[in-house]
Amino acid sequence: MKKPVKITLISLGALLGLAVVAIVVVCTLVFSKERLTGWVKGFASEYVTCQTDIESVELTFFSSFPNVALCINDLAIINPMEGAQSDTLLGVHRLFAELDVMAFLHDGSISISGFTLKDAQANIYINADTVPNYDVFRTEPSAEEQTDTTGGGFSLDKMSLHNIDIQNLSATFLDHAHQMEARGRNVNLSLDTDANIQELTGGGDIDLEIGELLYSDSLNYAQLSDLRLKDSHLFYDGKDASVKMPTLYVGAQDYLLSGDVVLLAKIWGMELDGIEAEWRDKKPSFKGITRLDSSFVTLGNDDVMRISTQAVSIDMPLSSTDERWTSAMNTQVKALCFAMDSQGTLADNLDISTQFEASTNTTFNDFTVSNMTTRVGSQAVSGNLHVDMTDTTRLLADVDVTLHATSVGEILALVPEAYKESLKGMKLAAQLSDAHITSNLEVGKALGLKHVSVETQLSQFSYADDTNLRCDVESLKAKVTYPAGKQGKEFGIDADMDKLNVVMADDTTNIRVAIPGGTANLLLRDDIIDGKDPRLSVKFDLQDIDVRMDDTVQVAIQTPQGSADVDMASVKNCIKVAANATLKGLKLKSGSDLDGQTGAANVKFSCLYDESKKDVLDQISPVADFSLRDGHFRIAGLTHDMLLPELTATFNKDKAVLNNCQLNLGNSQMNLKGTVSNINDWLKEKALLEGNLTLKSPLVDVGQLMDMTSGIGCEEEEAAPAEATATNTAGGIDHSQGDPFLVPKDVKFVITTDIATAKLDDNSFDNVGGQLTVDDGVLVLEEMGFTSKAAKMQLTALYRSPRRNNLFVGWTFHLLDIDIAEMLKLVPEIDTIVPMLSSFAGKAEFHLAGETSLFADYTPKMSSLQATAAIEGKDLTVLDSETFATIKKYLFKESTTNKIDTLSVEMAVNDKKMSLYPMLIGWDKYEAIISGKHTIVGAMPFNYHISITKCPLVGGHLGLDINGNLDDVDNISFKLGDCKYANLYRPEKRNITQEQTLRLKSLISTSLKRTVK
Amino acid sequence: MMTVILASSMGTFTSCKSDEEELIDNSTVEQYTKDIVGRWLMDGSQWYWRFDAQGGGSVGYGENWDKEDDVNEGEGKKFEWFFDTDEQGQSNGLMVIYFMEATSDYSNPATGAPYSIKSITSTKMTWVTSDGETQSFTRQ
Repeated sequence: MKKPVKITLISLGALLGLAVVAIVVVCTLVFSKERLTGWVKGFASEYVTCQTDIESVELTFFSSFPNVALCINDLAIINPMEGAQSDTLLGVHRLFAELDVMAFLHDGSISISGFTLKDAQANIYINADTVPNYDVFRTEPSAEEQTDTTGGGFSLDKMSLHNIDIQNLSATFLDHAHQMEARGRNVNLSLDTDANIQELTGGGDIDLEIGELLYSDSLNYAQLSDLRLKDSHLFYDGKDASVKMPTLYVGAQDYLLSGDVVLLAKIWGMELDGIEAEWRDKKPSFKGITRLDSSFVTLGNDDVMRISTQAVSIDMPLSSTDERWTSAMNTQVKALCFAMDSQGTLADNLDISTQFEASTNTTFNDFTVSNMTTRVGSQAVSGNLHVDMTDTTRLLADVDVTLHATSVGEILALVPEAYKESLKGMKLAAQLSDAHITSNLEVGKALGLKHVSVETQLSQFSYADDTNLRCDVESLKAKVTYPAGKQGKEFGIDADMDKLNVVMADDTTNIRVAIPGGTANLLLRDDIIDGKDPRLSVKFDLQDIDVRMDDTVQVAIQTPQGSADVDMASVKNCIKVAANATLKGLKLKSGSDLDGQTGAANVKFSCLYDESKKDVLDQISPVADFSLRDGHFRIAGLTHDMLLPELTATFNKDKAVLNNCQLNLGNSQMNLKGTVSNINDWLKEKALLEGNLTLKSPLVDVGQLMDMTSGIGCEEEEAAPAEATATNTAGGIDHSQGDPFLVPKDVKFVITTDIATAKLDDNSFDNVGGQLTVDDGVLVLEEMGFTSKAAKMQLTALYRSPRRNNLFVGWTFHLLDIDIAEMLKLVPEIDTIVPMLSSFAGKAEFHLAGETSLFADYTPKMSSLQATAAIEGKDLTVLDSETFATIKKYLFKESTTNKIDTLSVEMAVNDKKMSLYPMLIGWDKYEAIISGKHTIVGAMPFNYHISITKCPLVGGHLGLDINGNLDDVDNISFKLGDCKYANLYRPEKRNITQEQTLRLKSLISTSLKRTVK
Repeated sequence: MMTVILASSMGTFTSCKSDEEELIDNSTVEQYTKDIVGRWLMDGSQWYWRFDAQGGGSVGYGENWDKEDDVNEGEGKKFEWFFDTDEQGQSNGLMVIYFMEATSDYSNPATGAPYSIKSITSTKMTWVTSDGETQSFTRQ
């Protein structure tokens, strides 16, 4: 450095040091602590209307170089008010006011360029009359003081603040008038500004820290801690304004928003980046990025909601009128995570972006969102929203939203993890057209829906799960509306479906249901959204339903229409179902076993399902009325089609009532009515299934029915491991001998018949009345009365089928006033048993009782056959025959007439033999007793004896023995012999055997006739 | 009920003895009543007869069945049996009465068959039917 320069610098430094020393000396001498303290106190009394205490005031140079600062120590402004939190309005441990020395030196004015407050406490209070405790400052000095003020002095007009620095401020705020309270602690503020206080213009850089901030009013509460705002900039030029906040961090926050809408929120850590707010040309705008870290929100109930994001980006240019604020918003939320303790994770790592135009009124209780486009993941939603909160007790919202075309799979990807467990095993796929949703919501004490309309269409819908169920729908249009129904308390769901296919298949069963199309209209009670169990009603109108099972069973339900109600709410633990349905027809086909169809059918069905009951049969209480017409069925094994011209019936779990069943089978036309009871107990195997029916018919072809029903019940026998079956079959059922009718067990049916005509082979019976009973494996025809052209008849018969090849039949059969020839025609077997009967003509009375076991083809087992018969006749004619001619040749005169006065025949069959008990025949002047036996198996050998006990020819007794085989009548032997029964009707001479014979004869006759009713 | 009626009507009667009748006395009746009890198989056939003891009364029960007709024990014809005696205690033999089931009340039609027993031993029995056929049985 050159010497002159060096000397010059040394000189200037000396002058500057001298100046500083001079200023310090001047300040010390002129602005002494005492003088300044008094001066500031005077200033305070000039501008402050309440008590002001100041400990001391001093000037400091070095701490505020190059300016001089006024340092006020322990300032207290005291303004007691009743109800206030403190008498002290403001207390400051140390206050620095930087003075503009140049302004002072220039024109003597005092200009404050900056403020620094250290360790301050402020208590702001507003009483119930809205009188605040801070209304203690005067902007102009009092008149008294003004007269004393001369020259420059202090003037706010000239004050220009450039720096405000607040360190460790605590403040309280209490507003009794508005029931508001706020409190802040540890507030630090650094503001570098060029603001013009007089013009309220300017800007500045702000650093702000708030350790804790509390706010509460009558409804709301908020607590905030650790707010940090760095390097922010404010600007206002009297017209436009802007705020830029590079970083705003807000620590823990608690919010309580109450009233009827209760919202408790607690957020830990919210960071906002790049927030810029502008107010330009009266149009505000806002944009920024917000990150929520570890946030918690608690709703009014005990549930806890958790929200976090990686970033929330908001671009919000604002504009306003006097009445509303509007904005075209663009927000993006990255990696939204949302969970509720009660539901689990509901959204995980979800990106949401939305653009919309929003507006709100100036009181922020009326919001409108329009032209909204939101993307959630790959899904897009557009629409409009209006929220009205002007009534503080409720929130009203109008929603008009369109969910744009998507696939169900993409929607399922959004399903929260908490719900995915319930979808496990399901496979869903479908295309979803635009779903348009309009809704009016009311959120108050409870969620209320004013109006909802959802309209959408599913196409190529498929559903499958791991229960082997698969469902495909080609197209499903659906519209949901609210309110619907007569009372306006229901959701209306209208569905229009095309090509529904349902398949249920496993290793053993394959069931397919196909519906070409149809509509369904559902009404669902709205209390379901209050958590109540659903109550719904549905009307359906479907095209033909095709049901197939294992490709063997086919059911076609033609155009079913009807309605159904399902109520799961009225009775606890119960589901009530009521349905009405009509069909145009029904087609049934089961392999080669059944093929049939019906005409129109109606079903009225109701059922109560009570899941609290243990037994499945107790859980279900069905009641049904049904009717069908024009049924036509072809059943395997039946040689004729079964026709059901009309069937109406009702049933419940205990009883079925057949109101009218017209059944035509072959030649038979039957009408069945009656009840079947004990259904529930029968299903539980506690009781017999009981039936009491009447059968009315103009014609029953008994023979045809027997042929048709042969073999019925055999399938059950094959399924049951009956012990009896094992006795005669070594390996399975032997069908070679026939398939007899096996009487069902566990049932007791009584069928009262009223049959105008019953046909059996070539015979015809009229007025067939009696009872047919099926009782636990026994079929009984009880006292069946009927008439034919041959006789009046009465039949009691019994049929059991304990096993296939050992059937049992028993009967008592009375033919009253019968022509013998007709009788033999009616019951040809009588001719086998009593061959001589065919030799008589005339009227007789015939009583027959018998029983036998039968083979499977109904052939009698002769070893078990036993029967008794009694025939009584008068004035019978003995027909001319070769046999009678031979008898006549031996015993009678040629002139003897063939007229028999009386005939009393008693016969019995047992031990494979037929016994003709001695019968007395009187005709003309003759009297004879005939008896005999013949074997009813093999060649049927016989031996008969005729005792002539009265004969004008011989005047004594004659006997004739007739022997031979019935299958060789050409070689019958006739031989005169002893009169075996000369004393039969002379009691005093009868021997033991004759006595016994007559008593057996009497036993047969009396026991038989006793059964005539 | 029918058994009582039948026993009373069939059991005791007055009669004359003819020369050709072979009657058995009361002691023989008592012996046969004991000896006949058991299961018997008719010789040359599969026709079984079982006579149950009379118990306290004068009528016993029994059953016969023919396995050739695929009828097993328990499925055969049930009967009542007794020895038909007159006032003197004499009897011409065994009486078997069958009651048939097919009635709506207790008025069962009945039929009977007398058998004249020739001998009963511990293993064999022989009787003659009312038409003179001799049938032999072996105890089972």
